[in-house]
Amino acid sequence: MSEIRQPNAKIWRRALAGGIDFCLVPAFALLLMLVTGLLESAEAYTGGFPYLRVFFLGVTSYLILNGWLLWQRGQTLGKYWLKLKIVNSQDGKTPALWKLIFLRALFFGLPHAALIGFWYLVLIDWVFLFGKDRCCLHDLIAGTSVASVAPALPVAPEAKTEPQSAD
Amino acid sequence: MKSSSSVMRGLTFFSKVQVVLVLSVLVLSIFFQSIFVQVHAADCEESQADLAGAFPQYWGIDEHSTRFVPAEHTTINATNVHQLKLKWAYGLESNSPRSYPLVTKDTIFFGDSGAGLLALDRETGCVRWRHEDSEADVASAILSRVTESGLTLYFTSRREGVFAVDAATGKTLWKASIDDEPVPLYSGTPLLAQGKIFVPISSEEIGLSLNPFYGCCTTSGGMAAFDATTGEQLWYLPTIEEPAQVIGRHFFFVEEWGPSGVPVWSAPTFDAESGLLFYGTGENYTEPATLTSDAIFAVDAATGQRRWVKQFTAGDTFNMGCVIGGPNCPDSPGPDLDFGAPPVLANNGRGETVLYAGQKSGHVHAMNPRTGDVYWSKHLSRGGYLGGIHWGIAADEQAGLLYVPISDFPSGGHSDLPAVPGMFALNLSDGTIRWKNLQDTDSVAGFWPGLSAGIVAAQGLVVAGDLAGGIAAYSAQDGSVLWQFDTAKTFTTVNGVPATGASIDSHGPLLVDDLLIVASGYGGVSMQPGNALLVFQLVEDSVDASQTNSLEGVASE
Repeated sequence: MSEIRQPNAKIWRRALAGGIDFCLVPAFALLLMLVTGLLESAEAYTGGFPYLRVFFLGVTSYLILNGWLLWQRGQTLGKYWLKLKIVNSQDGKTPALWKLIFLRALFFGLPHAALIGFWYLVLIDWVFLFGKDRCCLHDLIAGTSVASVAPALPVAPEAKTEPQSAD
Repeated sequence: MKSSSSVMRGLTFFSKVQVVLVLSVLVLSIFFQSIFVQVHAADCEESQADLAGAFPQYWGIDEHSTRFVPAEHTTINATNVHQLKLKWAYGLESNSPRSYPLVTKDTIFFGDSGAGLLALDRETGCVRWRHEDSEADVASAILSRVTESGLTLYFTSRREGVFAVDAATGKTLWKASIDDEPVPLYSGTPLLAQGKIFVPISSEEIGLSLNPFYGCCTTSGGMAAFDATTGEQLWYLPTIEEPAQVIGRHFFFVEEWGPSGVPVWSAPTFDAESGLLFYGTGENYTEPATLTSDAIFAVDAATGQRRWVKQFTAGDTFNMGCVIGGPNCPDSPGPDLDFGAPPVLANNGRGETVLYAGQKSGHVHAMNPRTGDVYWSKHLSRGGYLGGIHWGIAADEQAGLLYVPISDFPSGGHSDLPAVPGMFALNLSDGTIRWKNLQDTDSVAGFWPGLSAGIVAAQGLVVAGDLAGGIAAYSAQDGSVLWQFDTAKTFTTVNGVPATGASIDSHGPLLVDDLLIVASGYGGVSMQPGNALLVFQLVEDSVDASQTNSLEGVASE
């Protein structure tokens, strides 16, 4: 099925999609932790807090939930439900998976880090949203932007660029 | 490369400037932060310390843990204690200092928790050196021993183990830990004897039990012995010898284990004559309860073999999960009545050496140190999981008295007796109360004034700090207050770091020569945090006025 994209999706839609991912990934990580018992034994805490295991759980959960969608459609679950899509800011195509994982997804944990005091890192990432490009720092670094996918969404009235080609 | 070029390629000039600026600020802030934490004020011009006369050698002042300072080590007594004036205050970085000073001719060594071990000039409080091993979160009294290379200091770091440090330079000589337990907690002060260092072992599982997804609990407390020269482990004796088994499940997947717990978090006591090491234990973390929890152990110091174990509270299973109502709490949680105060060996006045132990329940027990048989038990107060008797008691053999500080902080009291925070003096012979001086809980608007910290006794007096920040010297004769000082205030400090006094807890005050040294502010276990290290000194009456004037500026409300 062909789709029409509007570049630079509205901030509230991106925030909502981000919020869904923000909740889903830790929830799945929690389930994964329960089933595998990865953080359940004393041995996991030998040498201090098991940051590596927590990181592994987070990454694994992120990839299980979002890996296929990212690879195929440039979407996370949150973006899929909000009809958003990550595209190359230059050519509008779905970015390479490595770029989505190793550049863009590195920033995924920042809102969670904000909960333990690193709120300023999120601010640094998000402050760019209000710039001319309406892209977060992670988009600028990865060379991506987030587009709305039509026809499920009404065309944003402020969007002045022409609809881009379909897949 | 396509990847790197694409990062900035497509950006407007303004966006590029923004990215560069933000990243620059981030890098610079990290750089300056690392610079600032390296800078410390008030360092002494002379870093070399005169290490003669290091005192005390033990948490309990002597190897019998009497907490009694003989006249050869302090000039402070009942007749002159009123002349104590604040000499200087030092602002610690930690707001839960948990250490006990070691004092030499010109230096005071003290642990500033995660900020490391300090060597402070005894006269001025300037810093001679600072042991900044990032792993050395000092959690104990500072012990010392003369070795071939000079004076060696010993202390424990809560998660890393026991450290040996050169007292002259502050360099780490060795550090050692046990492999027998996966998450040991070195929260108790070790004891040096016969060329060995005996290290109490608790467990991080007491805190991990708060995590509802943690499979509580599998580990045991214990006692470990290391060679004091090399740090080589000689033996380890767990307090639980049965391996933990799965005893249940919650959240479908999380396994519950037991038995576990029985930590040792207080300093051991040593009897050179019998070669026995005595120490108290805490509660089981999970069911089934063992026969070794809330007990006194007697162990052969040479081999680590048990001689006897005397349990005083059976079936006591408790962990921090119970405080929050978490799923790791046992089905029938116990009252958590540890022995946090080291057992005391003292003459009972009839020529017999007796082992005295104070329990969180508010009981004092007198035992035969060779068999563990109980001569008498005295129930003094309501008790609770923060005491009752919490950190330490003291014995004055000359006066025939056992000093027992009672906290009775409102925390799960289990008996019908009322809360009676205050100082009790019992006859060493039979446990009868000679006198008591209770804290006034009615008129105190602030924090609970229980006596939780370890205490210290000397000629004709006993000194204790309270959880509200007060410190007082009581007469051995009748318990009347000879001197007192409210540390719950802000202090101008010699190192320029703002300091606030608060709850006096954990190791408590020390008397040495003409000094009284105490850390005020202990934020652990819901107490009031603070960061003041206070040094008081006897000031002659004749010069009292002028000295007082000069010192008044040091302490300010």
